[in-house]
Amino acid sequence: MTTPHIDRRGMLAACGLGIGSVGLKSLLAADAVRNNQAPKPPHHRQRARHVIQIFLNGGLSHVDSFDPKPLLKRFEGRSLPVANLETERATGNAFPSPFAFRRYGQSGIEVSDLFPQTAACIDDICVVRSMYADVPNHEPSFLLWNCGDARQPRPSMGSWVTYGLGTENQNLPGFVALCPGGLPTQGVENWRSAFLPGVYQGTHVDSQFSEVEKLIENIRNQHLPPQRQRKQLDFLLRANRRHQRQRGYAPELEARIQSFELAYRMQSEASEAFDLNNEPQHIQQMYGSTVQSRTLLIARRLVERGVRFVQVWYSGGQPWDNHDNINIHATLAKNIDQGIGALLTDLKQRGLLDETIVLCGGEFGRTPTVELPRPILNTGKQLGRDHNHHGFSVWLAGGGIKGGHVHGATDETGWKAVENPVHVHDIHATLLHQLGCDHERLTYRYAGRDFRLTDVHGRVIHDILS
Amino acid sequence: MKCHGLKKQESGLRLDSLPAARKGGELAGPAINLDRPLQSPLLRAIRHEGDLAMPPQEKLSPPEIQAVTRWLQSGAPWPQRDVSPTQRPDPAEAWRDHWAARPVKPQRVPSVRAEDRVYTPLDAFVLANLEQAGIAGSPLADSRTLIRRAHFVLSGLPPTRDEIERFQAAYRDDPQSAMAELVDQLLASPHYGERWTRHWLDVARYADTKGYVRLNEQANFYYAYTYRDYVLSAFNNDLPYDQFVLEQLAADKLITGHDNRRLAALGFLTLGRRFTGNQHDIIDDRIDVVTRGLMGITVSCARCHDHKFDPIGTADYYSLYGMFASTSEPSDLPYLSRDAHPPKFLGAMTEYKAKRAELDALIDAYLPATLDMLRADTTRYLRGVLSGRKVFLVPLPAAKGELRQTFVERWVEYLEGCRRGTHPVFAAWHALQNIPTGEFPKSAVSVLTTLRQTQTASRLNPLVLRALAAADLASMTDVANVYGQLLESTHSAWQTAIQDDPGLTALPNEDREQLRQVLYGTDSPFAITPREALDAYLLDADWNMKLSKAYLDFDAWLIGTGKAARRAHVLLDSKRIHEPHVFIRGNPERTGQRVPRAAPRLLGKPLSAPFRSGSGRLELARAVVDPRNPFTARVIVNRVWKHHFGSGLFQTTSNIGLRGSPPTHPRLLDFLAQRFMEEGWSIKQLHRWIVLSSTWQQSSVDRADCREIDPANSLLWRANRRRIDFETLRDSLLMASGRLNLTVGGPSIPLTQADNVRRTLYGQINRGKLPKVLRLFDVASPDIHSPGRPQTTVPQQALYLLNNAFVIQEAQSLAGRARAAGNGTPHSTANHLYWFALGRPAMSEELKQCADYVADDPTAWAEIAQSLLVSNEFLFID
Repeated sequence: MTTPHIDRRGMLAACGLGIGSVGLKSLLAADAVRNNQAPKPPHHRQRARHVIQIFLNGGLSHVDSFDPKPLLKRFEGRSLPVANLETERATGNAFPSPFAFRRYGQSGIEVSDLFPQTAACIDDICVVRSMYADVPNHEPSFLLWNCGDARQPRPSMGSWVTYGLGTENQNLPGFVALCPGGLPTQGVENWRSAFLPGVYQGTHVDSQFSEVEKLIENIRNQHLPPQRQRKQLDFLLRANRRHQRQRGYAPELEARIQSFELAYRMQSEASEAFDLNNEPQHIQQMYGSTVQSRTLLIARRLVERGVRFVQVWYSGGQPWDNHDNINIHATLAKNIDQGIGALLTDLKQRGLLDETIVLCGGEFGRTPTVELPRPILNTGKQLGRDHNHHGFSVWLAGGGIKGGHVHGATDETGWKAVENPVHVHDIHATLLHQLGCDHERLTYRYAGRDFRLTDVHGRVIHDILS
Repeated sequence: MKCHGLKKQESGLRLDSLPAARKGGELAGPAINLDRPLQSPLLRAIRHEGDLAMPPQEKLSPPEIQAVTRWLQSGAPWPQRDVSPTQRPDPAEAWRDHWAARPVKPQRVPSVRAEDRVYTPLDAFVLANLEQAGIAGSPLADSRTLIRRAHFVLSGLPPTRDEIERFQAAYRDDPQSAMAELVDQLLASPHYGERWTRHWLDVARYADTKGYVRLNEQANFYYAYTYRDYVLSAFNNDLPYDQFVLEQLAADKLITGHDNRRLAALGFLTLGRRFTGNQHDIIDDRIDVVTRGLMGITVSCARCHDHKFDPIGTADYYSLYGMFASTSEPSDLPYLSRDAHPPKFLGAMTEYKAKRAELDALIDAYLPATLDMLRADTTRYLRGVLSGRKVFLVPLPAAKGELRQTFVERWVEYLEGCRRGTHPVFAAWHALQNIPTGEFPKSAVSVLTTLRQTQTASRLNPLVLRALAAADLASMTDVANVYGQLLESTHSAWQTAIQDDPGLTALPNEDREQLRQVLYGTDSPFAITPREALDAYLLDADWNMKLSKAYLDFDAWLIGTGKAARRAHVLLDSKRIHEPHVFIRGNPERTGQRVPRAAPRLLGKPLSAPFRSGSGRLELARAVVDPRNPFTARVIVNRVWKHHFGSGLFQTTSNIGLRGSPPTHPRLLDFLAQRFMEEGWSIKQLHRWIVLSSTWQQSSVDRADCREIDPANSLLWRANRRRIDFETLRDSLLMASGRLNLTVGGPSIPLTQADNVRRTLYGQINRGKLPKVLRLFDVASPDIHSPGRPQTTVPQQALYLLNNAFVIQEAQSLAGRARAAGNGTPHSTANHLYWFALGRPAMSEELKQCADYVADDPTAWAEIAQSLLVSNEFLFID
């Protein structure tokens, strides 16, 4: 590959990057003209280089999974000693979890029977039991988690990260959103780049498919076999070189010439990355055969190949939103628990867990009290829980996060985060910190001000860092 | 200190200096009370006493609180090295010296040495700067380059072989008159408007859908295209830009006769994202598109706090907020027509009527029953009126029997309307409502007595007076009960009466009839269209869902026929005008100072006077296009300039403020802005000045010595080479393959639809399902006003061009077209191929390369064709 002669300012003008301010000074590096996704140095020492964000969309009930509340049993069928907090809908009496909790690992952290395989890795996991968000509604909460703002069109966390750090494998997209079966609530807004250049948008992949053509648009030419396409590319290359010779110094022309060579290599590399048939039998068995576990296996293959940020959605819509019957959580968990356990084990075996943060949770938790029936919305059932943004749990693993650790707590009922409360912005700040970015310095000048993922909020939670 | 210091002042409070602390914040006033130190709000807050508890999460330790207490008791001594609150640069002061704050003034055209290069006055400004830097302009580009550049910039389409050859011949005879003729031809073509409409749609964050919507909410702006077509005709007819702006903000207030077609212009305000119905966010988006889009000022920064750099306060933001909060969108979109009787459907009426009858049957089944249910519940609604109101509601589906807050609102508006004059039924209501709560039973009697003694007493409804007199009125709730019972009994009397005589049009008793009019009259709260009732969720949730669905189906069918009559997404002034307050930190639950509805104060005194008429939209529009407004002309001239040269005279096209980039040629910018306004705000004239300049006509060839001095080419020593955008790329592919359909205007069609071979401008923009290829090629996000598109170069773009079925299809069509045009020899086919794709004959080296390529496979022409279509020569304009 020839390296073009480039000067910095000329390059910025050519890229159109002169308009906005740039997040990290490395964006000024001359190779940005070749590829806006080239890796860039961080602000400070990196503890993690990749993120896998597993989103249990709809709202995982914390009191049924990672935050045991024996008090609920004592008050079963009666009202709790504290008043029910305001959530989306009316709730009634205390509703103990139908799932048993057990202690796992050296750390002895309690996890319910919903997630036994995940719990087997508990010594690598940090459970944050004191999460809180802003409102008890799905749409704004999805956006808060993924874009740091409940309503305004803001870039997704993955877009910020690839904007700040670039990506390590130029033959694969830097930010991938894996969602089997349709789009989640709020759709493509969850991985949008908003005012950041379109190249930082998440590449959406519907992982219910296994053929690579269905997974990635335009990855294969339906007409030409590879050697024939090479011949065509050589024709193009000669034409482009002839054109370039007549024009002298022109980095913008060189950049485009190089992008075709990258694309050519991407075809084989991406096909290989998404093809699970290349994975040995025992690994496939370890993950299991559900679409969720296949999606997690793809996520590992991507991270292994240098992809910076992978969103793993449970599925389209908001399946964990069990207003009417919390027992549905069991079926949902069964589909993904084995895959999560396998992912953590697999990453660890490969030495990837040290440099990959796995984040798992829903947009909020659920009420410790039973949801009351309401005409039209749910008919007569009293087995479910409403949304609860006052207190809930998420967990993180890898990438310099403390394993076998519980951070914060909700009150005795599970209603509200009371000890070391952690806001969604704090998780964002912490993830960026581990990736080597200062969340207050990773900015983009737009519409008259500098924007951040964390807006004017966010604190790094040093207590959960190892 | 982090929350209340130099950089950040939560709730407006600063605690890093004594004067600032004594001044205090928005919530509790002065933080320190030196007379009664223990009463200081600061102390109460850190002790977590009362409403305000600070720091919010972790209370200070007792010794820390003790220390603060002692400090306050000893008179709050402060070290001499005081940090003054005005240490941060005062925006107002910095603004006074800011280039964009000064009015646009006429500029003298500078004299230059290279007089022969002054084709239009703007050249003199550019040359003056170049000469100062010791650089000469580049030679003019060759004629083929010029015609390609002119075509791409002005019409967004490549020139045909015929056009190129004719232009080249004319250029040989007389270059500058050939150029002038070319520009006139291009500006007269309807394709000019198509190109420049696309640029404007980026400003206007145009889309055909609302983005994420609530359940059963209509997701489509079916008639968005009428706004796009309005913009199209504005550009093609060279509608003066000031008029263009006026109409987009207040067309409804400019229409006098029957011709209402300009109403479509209001799409500029209405076609933004809908944030699942959150009115505050909808207004924010509108404030942004108006202020940044038209004037380059970043007002939406001031939603939560004063602008950090420019003198734009929250007061300015909420002044505009109040204007938009005084508007509403009718559920039933107006038809557009030049006469008073617009057609409702342009196709076969029989089918329309049949479809409409299905819908009407459902409406008849649900709506009257719903309204009767609401009439029978009048007492509850009148009581609802008394319990206050929110600024905005996000309507939600209602269960059977549940109070519809939206209908309470209708009652509130109706009762407000009854204030004027002496309303026979509700004059007593309003008189009683003035009584302070504590004085009720006694004052009520005297109020009623007074009312009976007034001159207009005879006009008051005696049934109402009698019922009120007979009741024990301990509060307004009792008054509401009396009114409610009267109206409800009137409703049932009428129900019985029409059962006996279905032909009945009024109740025989005049006084009863007067009451009936409250429930059935044309101005009653119950006079509501089906769409309005749906939007307000008046129907029971299941009915609402069914009827919504029926409307969705009907609308989809109607649009699908392609025969729907044109309508517009308009916004009109509400009956009730909103008097705005600042929302502290953007929180609508925390109201601060009252502000007038007005244009931002940085426009200067006369232009920012409080609005007087309605919402004030027309007054705002007039302030925007007033020649004294220092922003509007500069901003649009700069936008046009940027599309001609690839970069603006100032880079931050939508931020003219202190943090924006200053202009490279300030006097040129003002010269153009001034002349632009003087000569009737004509965009086409502006194009002529620019394209006919020698600056525009320079070659783009690199000159290493100049690059050394001015690498960014901000002095314009050459033309910038630019890559065509996605729209131009797709249009050019279709043009080369000979498949482009050049029909102008009409409803949007999905870009992914296989037979869509129209210009990309007509592709549907679905916010929720934007084809990935658009963002891949840097097309502006339709979610928010776009100041300009970035340009990225990534392998996924190359993948699209190499492998996408659409591109391959165009390549195949192009190859077929070239073979059919020639005589069958490889030379002839190659030559045609190069003409169709690149607008030039093939060179000998290329002819040979083609011949070699197809030597072993004559079907490989499509592969060559594709190479040309994705080549740098195809995608770059020199």
